[in-house]
Amino acid sequence: MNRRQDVIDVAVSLLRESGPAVLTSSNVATRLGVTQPAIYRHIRDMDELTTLASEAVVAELTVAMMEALAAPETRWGDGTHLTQFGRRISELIATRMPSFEVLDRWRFDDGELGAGIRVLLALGRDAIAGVLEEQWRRNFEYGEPFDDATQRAQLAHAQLIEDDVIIVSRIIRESTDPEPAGGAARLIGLRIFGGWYAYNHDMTRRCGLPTPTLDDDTLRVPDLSDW
Amino acid sequence: MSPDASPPAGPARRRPRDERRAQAIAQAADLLRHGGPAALTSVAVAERMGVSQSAIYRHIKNIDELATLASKVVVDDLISVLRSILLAPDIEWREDGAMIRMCRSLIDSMIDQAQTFATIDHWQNVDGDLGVGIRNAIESGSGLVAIVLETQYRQVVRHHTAFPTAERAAHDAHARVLFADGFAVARLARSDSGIDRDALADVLRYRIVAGWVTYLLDMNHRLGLKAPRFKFRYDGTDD
Repeated sequence: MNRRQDVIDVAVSLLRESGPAVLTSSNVATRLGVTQPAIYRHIRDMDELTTLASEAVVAELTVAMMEALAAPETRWGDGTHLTQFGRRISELIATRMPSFEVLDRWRFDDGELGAGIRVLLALGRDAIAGVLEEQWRRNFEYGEPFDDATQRAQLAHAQLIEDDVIIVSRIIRESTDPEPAGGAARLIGLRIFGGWYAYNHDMTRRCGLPTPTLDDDTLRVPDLSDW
Repeated sequence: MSPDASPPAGPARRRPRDERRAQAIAQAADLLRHGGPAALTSVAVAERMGVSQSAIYRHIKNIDELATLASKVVVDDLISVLRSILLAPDIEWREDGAMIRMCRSLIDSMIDQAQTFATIDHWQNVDGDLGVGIRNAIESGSGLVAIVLETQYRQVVRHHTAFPTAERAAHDAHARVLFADGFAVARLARSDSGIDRDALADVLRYRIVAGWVTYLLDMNHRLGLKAPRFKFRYDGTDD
C-alpha cells in the first residue's frame, strides 16, 4: 500500500468536501488514524501536500467544467439552451464550491501551485474559446480562417467568461443568503449570455458581418422566468 | 533645498522617527507601484533608504505591516483614479464616443498602473490587515460601479422607488461582477496575450455594454417592468 498516496488522497477529499481552511496536518492525520507527526514520513511539509492536493482538486474541476461545456445539446444563441447551460454551470458551482474556493484562493500564487492552477485555467479558457468559435461559425456559416488579432480577441473573450464563473462562485460562497444574489443560476446564466453577446459583437465587427440584435436566432435573450 | 534649510511652517514638524517611518512607507509604495508585490522586500526598502535591512524594523513592526500601509497608499490612489473616470461629471453615457473614450482611459490606467492591479489580485485573499484592506478597497470599487449602474438605470427606466431586498442583492451582485470583470481585463492588459490596447478597449466596451444589457434585463424582469428596448448610440450599434 502506498502511504504517500493515501495521505494525498485524504488531503484531496478534505479539500473537495470543505475547502482550504480544513486542510491541516491534524485533520489529515485524524482521517488516516495516525499521529500528526507520522504523516511527515510520507510528505515533506504541508506546503507540498497543499500544492499536490490543490492541483488535483482544480484539475478535477477543470475536467467537470469541460464536460459541462461539451454537452452535446448546447446551442448558443438559442435562449433555451443557454438557460440550461446556465443551470448546469450553477449546479457545478453548487456541488463543487470548495474546489472553486481552492482555485480562487491560489490562482495568483507565485509558487508552483499558482503556476499549476494557471496552466489548468488556460486549458479551460482554450476549451471555452473552442466552443465559442464552433457555435459562432455554425450560427453565421462562417468558414474563413481568423487572423491573429481575431484569435487573440477570441481568447480574451473566453478568458473573461471563465473569470465570470469564478467571480460568481465567489459571490455565492461569500453570501449568507439561501438564494444568493437573487439566484445563482440566473446570475451566471445572464453573465454567460452577456459574454456571448460581447463575443458576437466583437466577432461580427471583425469579420465584417452585420451586427446581431437581441431578436436574432444567434443572440436570443434567455427566458428569465425559467431561472 | 534641504528640509532643514528653513524653519517649519504650519503644523509642528514631524519627529525624525516619524519621518523615517513615512519614508519607509513611501519607498514601499513606490516599489509596489513599479514592481508589484514581488518587489516589496525588506532588502529593497532598506537599500532605497540607505540603511541596513535590520534598521528598517526600528520604524516598522514587520514587513506585513509595511505591506498593509504601502498597499493602502497605492490602492487608494487607484480607486481615486477609477472614481474620476467612472463618475466624471461631464460623462454623457448615451453620447456617441463617450463609451469608447471611457474604455480607452480605463485600459490606459490598467497599463499604467498594472502593478497596482496585480497587487490587488495578489493580496486579496491573504489573512490579516493586509487582506482586509485590499478587500475593503475592492468593496468600495464595486460600490462605485453600483452607483453608476443605479443612476443610469433610474434615468433610463424612470424607476424612482427603492429596490426591494432581493432586487438590491441582485443589483449589488451585478456591480461586483462588473468590477471584477475590469480586473480580469486588467490581467489581460498586463499578460503576454499579445492583444493590443485598442483591441482590448473594444473587448472591454463590448463587455460593459453586455453587462449593462444583462443588468437591465434582470432588473426589469424582477421589478415587473417590460423588457427594455435597446437603443445604443454609445455602442456604435443600434439594437
